[in-house]
Amino acid sequence: MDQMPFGGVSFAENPDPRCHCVLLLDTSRSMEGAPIAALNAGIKTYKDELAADSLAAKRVEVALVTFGGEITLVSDFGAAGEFRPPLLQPTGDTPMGGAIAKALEMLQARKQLYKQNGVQFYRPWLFLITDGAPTDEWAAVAEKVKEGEAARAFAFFAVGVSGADFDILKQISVREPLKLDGLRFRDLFVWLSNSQRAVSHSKAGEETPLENPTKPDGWAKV
Amino acid sequence: MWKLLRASVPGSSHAKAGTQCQDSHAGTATKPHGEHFLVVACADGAGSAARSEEGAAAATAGFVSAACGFLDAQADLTRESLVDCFRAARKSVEERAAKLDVPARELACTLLAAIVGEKEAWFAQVGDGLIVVRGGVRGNEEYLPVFWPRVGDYLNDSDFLTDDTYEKQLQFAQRPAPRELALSTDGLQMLMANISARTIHQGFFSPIFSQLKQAQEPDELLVPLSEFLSSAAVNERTDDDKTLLLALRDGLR
Repeated sequence: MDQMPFGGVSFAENPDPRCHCVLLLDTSRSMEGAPIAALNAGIKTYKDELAADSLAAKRVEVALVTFGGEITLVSDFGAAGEFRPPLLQPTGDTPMGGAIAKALEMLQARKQLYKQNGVQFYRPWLFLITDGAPTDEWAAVAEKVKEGEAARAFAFFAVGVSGADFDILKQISVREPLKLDGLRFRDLFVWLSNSQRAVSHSKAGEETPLENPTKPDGWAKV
Repeated sequence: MWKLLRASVPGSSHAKAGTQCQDSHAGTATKPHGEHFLVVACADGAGSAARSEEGAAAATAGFVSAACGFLDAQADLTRESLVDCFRAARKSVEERAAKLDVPARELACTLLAAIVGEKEAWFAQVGDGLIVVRGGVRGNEEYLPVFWPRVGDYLNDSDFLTDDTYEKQLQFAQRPAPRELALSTDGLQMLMANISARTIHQGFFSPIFSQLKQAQEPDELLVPLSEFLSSAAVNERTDDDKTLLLALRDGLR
């Protein structure tokens, strides 16, 4: 008998499934100094961690939107391996409501693009980090977040840095907003990249359990 | 009348993490009242559920035993009988969970199953995975899927037999009996099908079934099949658990 009976089997070629995520970062003036430095360092760590994982580098697609004075698309969706961490500068007020609305539109448009191209995808993430309160209208977008979570259209995570208005964050995010312990942005982004690596490796057919960031040595406090 | 070959191997990510294979499969050929039947099932235990390998084993065994009961009783097979077999499979999962003293969701798994008679075949599925058939439809010798994965679903958002709504998610089909049949959990999906073109990759199945056809005894292919499923070529494309259940009608017609 042939040594390799199944040696003649060939495989279908499919594009890698994608896991897309919008980082929604507060760059208002109050982030000046140590917070923005820690945030910039954190984003770099995030990129390095994802790039080091060959599968995640291809499958995780990151876009970055900032809100400080105005809403800026710093970097549109692209493979995490090719993501270039920017150097963010704090300025202006906190148009968080508009920024969330923009991020929701981006997630939806990306999903359409995947569908049109027959690319399979995981439930997308929206990851908000803020140290303040919205200075624009946010009630309508909070409704959209609730609807989207209920329809499993995305998963919305909110992280508040010291000074953040948790009462408002709780009204926007269905999931309990997390409180960053000090300026542990680096640990937060290591957690985020680990979680997305796990998702991008996860099999079809299941929710990947996330490591609890509020455990004793985690980056978040309850 | 049937050559049956089936194997599950743990995915490379599970091997790395030290967790066992959470897929399971079961199958038997039976001839209750003069007609040959094949009863097969496979299941994929959810990685997020602690004892899902137990769930997958209970579900497949539960289905096969319930389906054989139906055939023994010479009941007409309909969608409702397949749903009954899935209910029995779910009951087996619940009983196993009770024995293990954990909630049934900790045994979450998918379930794909088929009953193939001499003329007709019945298929049902809850959750991801692929059932592929060949033969039975005159003039068409292609490998064809019984169900397509639903479009627009998230990859990490499957239905499970342990969901409250599983009966609503259950897909059912009655078809002319195929000559060749493959059941697989979703670990191999990307290798077996061109997802965007919605076609089955014929080059995956033809060589495998031609080996099975040539084999004197299907069991002599058991080791090669497991080795193939664990090979570097396969693991480069998927790090998930993999199950392949193959059945070939032998000698009939």
